[in-house]
Amino acid sequence: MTSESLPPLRTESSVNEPAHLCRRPWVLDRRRFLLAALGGAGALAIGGCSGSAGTKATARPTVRLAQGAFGFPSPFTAAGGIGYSQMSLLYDTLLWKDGSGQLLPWLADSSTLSDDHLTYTFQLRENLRWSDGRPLTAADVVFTFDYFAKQTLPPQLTIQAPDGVAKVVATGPRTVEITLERPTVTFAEQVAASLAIVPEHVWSPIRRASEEQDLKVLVGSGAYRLDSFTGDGGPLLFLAKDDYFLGRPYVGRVECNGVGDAFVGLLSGATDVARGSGLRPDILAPFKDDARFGMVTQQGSSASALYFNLTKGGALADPRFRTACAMAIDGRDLVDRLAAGRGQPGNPGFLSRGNPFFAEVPPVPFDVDGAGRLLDGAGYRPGGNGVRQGPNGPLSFELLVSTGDVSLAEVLVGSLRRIGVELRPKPVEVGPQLFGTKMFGGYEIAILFFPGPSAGGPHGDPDVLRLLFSSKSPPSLTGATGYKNPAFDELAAKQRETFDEVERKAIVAQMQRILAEDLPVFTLYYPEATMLFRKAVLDEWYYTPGSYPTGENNRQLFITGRKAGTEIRPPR
Amino acid sequence: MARRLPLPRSPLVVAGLALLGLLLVVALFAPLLTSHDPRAISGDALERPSGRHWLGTDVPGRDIFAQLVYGSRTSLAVAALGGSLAMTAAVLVGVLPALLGGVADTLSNRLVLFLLALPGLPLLVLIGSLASRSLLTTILVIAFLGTAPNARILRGQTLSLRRRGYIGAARGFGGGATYILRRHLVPGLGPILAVGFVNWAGVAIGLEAGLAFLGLGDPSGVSWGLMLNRALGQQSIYFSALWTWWVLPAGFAIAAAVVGFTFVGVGLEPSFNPRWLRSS
Repeated sequence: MTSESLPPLRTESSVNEPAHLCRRPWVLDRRRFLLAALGGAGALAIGGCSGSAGTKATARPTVRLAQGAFGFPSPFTAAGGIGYSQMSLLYDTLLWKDGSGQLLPWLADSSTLSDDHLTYTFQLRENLRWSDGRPLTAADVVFTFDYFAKQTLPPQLTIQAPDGVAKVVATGPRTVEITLERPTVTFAEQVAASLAIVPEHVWSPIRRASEEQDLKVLVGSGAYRLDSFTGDGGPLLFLAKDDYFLGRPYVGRVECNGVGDAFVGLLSGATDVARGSGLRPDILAPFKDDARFGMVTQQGSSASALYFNLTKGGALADPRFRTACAMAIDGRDLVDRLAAGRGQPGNPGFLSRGNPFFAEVPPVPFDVDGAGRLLDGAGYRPGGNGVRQGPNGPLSFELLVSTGDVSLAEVLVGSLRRIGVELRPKPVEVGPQLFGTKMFGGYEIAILFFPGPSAGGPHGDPDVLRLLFSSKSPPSLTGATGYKNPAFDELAAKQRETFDEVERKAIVAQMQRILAEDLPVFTLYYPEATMLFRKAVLDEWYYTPGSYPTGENNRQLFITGRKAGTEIRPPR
Repeated sequence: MARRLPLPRSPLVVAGLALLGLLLVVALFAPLLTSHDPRAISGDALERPSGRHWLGTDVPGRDIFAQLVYGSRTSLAVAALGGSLAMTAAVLVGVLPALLGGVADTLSNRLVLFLLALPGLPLLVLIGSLASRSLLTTILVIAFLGTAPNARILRGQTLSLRRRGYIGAARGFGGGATYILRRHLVPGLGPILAVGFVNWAGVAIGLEAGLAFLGLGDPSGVSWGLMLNRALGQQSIYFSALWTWWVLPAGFAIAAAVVGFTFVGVGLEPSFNPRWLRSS
């Protein structure tokens, strides 16, 4: 029923008054006018007083983000960069990375690493408290590591149980010692700066953490508390905790509300930040010359990649076939068509040029004729309908693609058709259909998009190569399916234990060369990532260098109002 | 005996037939109207309209005008096949059991009522999601959806005709089943079949476009719904004039085709629908 169809509200006076008075038309006589004027003036005065007081209380900015709730914001359900960002406002980590790429002391105000690179000692800050008022102690940190290790977490979640941890002990009320099974160069960044510390008194009775969706469990030590959550996709409201251990957070409110088109939302004032990759000039135009908006870009963090499912055998398991496919694809043309020229062509070594560990590898030339000759030499002969025939049948494959990448798929269909390879696009929605099919190998060839800065992308720590391509790594959404190269596996394990950066770079370079030769995954292109924002709210937005754990919406910015450090900026 | 019906000459029918005629001409002479293959990349990405590409190009660089022209073939195919199959199935489920009577009629009527109780659009989306995405699947799904409502109308008219005195008289004079079917039932049901076909053909065009727009159609096909899907999938398409030569033509084409069939259907109703005839 609409509000128009509701019966008129019967007030108490109208019920008690005689009928003829109830029907009397309302007349603005002098007495009523004076009363109304007096009431209005009083209301204005009260409003004015509370306004001045309120201004002082709410002088801190409110940041409005264009995405609604990305799942339940607990550490055991947070998925993707957005889900992690939202969760990270409620929970803290031992360390945290800022916009300069430095690991900052966070819950831990100091950390040391033993000479054998096996034992980390973290000293927690004093007077740390959970949002329910109970103290946060070293026992909670120990519990967190133990608890994560006991949980069976779905592989799509951002935080997984850290592997290679031998033991975690509290050597004092504020001191924790973490001993690793082997030296791990990425531990500080990938574990200490990403694993959300959870309260023992809340989670210890809960057996299956990933199934817990009760708001009561969202007790964190973070700078914000959750004020409103209506479910997945719905709005989220975070309010700052004035007694946060670093001080009163610079941003007072963080509102997460789904906006259909973030760029329209930014222009119209519905949101304060909008992001995209390979944006067309006409999208950027209204913001470029408007002093109200700022822009940050990053090359090489977003990527589209072509995945071959090697477990399917046949041509897909043949590196000559994969190389021929890569040779038939013009990376520069992809950048021009799909990213409006804003980006870089793909690199067969996976890491992008902006990555400090990027190494030059033998390029895969764009050479359609050469690709055809390579297929001829490998025994894939021209067949009917322009589709080549191999020993295991025609070179015709289903191409799993998200609905957002259909245009890319259509370009690839045309590119590979020229060398006699047929691709049949199968667009599916981003979500369980795409991720489940990809993760469990139910595809032949797939396009995956790395949407922006993340540890698992081409801009992250080079350990991403181990996570994606080593046969020793657990299956993951972005992992290569069925790829196994013992030499690569050995290098992948070695780089992880190598603390000397020069030596590590040399190892990672070898890994990239192997990948460029085997091509289990071919990076098609890297569209430039762009972030547009309203300067009046926050003016130091950044992409986190190295991108772990979350490249955007870094809570350090919301808390301090600055790009780097832990010192909180005074309210403007 | 069913009387011969005059050919309707209302302005609606004329306007509808003119629109459909134009659509047919475009579909038949598509290769003459454009030299571009609608599936082939023939230009740069998102070219503005020019002499070479009258409506510009899409993201991969395919000619949008060629997609518009060849999309008419898809729409007409869906309209013709979706409408025909729906009416054929409606005859099988609605007319034949009504003629047979007894258990067959009861069962088929229950089936029709059950199908009518199912929500059409969610069912369409569900089947479209689960079934393989091809034009044939789309046509079959649309025909399936059109079966029940048309079967119900046809059954009612069949039952009505069966009870007519002239049919009883024909039986009494020794008229066989084939004679009665040919001489009385087919002429009696024909107009309803024609109106049902025209109406459902229009609906079929809208449904196909809707399915394609939702990404549930044939992803490698050429259709107006798919054009809208691709166009509106572009981030912030309304930031430039891009939508005026990509979204609008496809939207107008769908509207014109649906309106064409609707005009013809509405124009035929007064002459062909038994209710209208009775009331007049």
